[in-house]
Amino acid sequence: MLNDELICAYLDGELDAEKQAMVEHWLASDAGAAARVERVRNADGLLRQAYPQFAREASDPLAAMIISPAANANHAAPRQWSMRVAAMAAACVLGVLIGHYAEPSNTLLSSGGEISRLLDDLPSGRAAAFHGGQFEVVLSLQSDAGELCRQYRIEHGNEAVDALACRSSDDWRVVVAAADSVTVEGAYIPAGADSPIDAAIARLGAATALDEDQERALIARSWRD
Amino acid sequence: MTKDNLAFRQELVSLLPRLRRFAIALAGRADVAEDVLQSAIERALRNWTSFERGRRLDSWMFKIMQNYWLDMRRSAAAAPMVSDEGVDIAGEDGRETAETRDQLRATRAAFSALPEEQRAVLTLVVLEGLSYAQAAETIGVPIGTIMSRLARARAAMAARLHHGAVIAPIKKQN
Repeated sequence: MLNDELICAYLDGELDAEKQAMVEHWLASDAGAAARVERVRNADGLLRQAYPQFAREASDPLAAMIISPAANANHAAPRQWSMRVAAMAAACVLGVLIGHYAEPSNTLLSSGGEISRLLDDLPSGRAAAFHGGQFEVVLSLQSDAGELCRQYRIEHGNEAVDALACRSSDDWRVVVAAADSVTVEGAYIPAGADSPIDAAIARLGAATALDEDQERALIARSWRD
Repeated sequence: MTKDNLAFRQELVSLLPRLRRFAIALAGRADVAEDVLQSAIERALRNWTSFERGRRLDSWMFKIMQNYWLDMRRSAAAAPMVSDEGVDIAGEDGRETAETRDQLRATRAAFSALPEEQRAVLTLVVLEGLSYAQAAETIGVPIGTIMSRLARARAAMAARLHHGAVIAPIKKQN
């Protein structure tokens, strides 16, 4: 007797050769059974049509959330030492950064070209001392169009700035910078889906986070083509 | 971020279209599906170190989504949320001819009417092409349970789609 479970296993290729042959033999000799199998096969086909695989969207906010570690609370772990940095008077560079939040421009880099140098040389996940606080590159990205960008974070006391800079001719152009607060434990508040950094990354279109080797190669040639 | 973590994130991004379809199949509504998907991803990113190398990431994610969905259902034990009204499921090519539109809508209605554990199994096996063993591992039930749920789900789908009269009347969109 051809029961429903056997029909399913037959359609799903879960039967061994012997049982498969047995079912085929049944179907050849029993029109009613063959019709049942056909009905199930048709329903499967309709289901696949009714729920097609979604096309990958060029700027899926979830994709941006995944590749941007701001979404990952664990990311705060390696920067605990920074909490020992005394909360001195806010470094002027931080003021400059926040001041340029609304209109990021190249003047942001005029703080001694220091940020440019750090963006050139610092591997992701490594922190460097920066005006009494610290500077850390979070992630390097390459858009499908070939644009190279780096997300970084500057912390000073209990204030922080997240920014995204992209390679433009021979220097780094800051695309967006946003002020953020650091909590006492050292875990910063994860940027929400509407954070300016995530939005800027999403605007890059399809972008891939670079791995260590790719990043090392780019650092070695100063991010030049 | 370590190289492993990057690779994990990249694979997760590549799985998004399939994860989204599974979320839609579970939740039946686009807005709830997106919430399930996003929460599952947040959970996965927090717990990525517990993902064992060599395991299938898709299966692991399906499991997280299924668990999250069940939690959500438990805490919102109120009205059933099964409704495909308003879900925009245009195909990859965006084409649904007038003739097939009603049939596909009827298919979604029949699918939505299934118990959710049957929807989950049907999605994993028929849409995702998982083997019974993989589906059993993903959902955390024996293979025999997968087989019986699948048989019941398919019999119900086939019956509803074969006998036009059984199909629930389709409301006009808009």
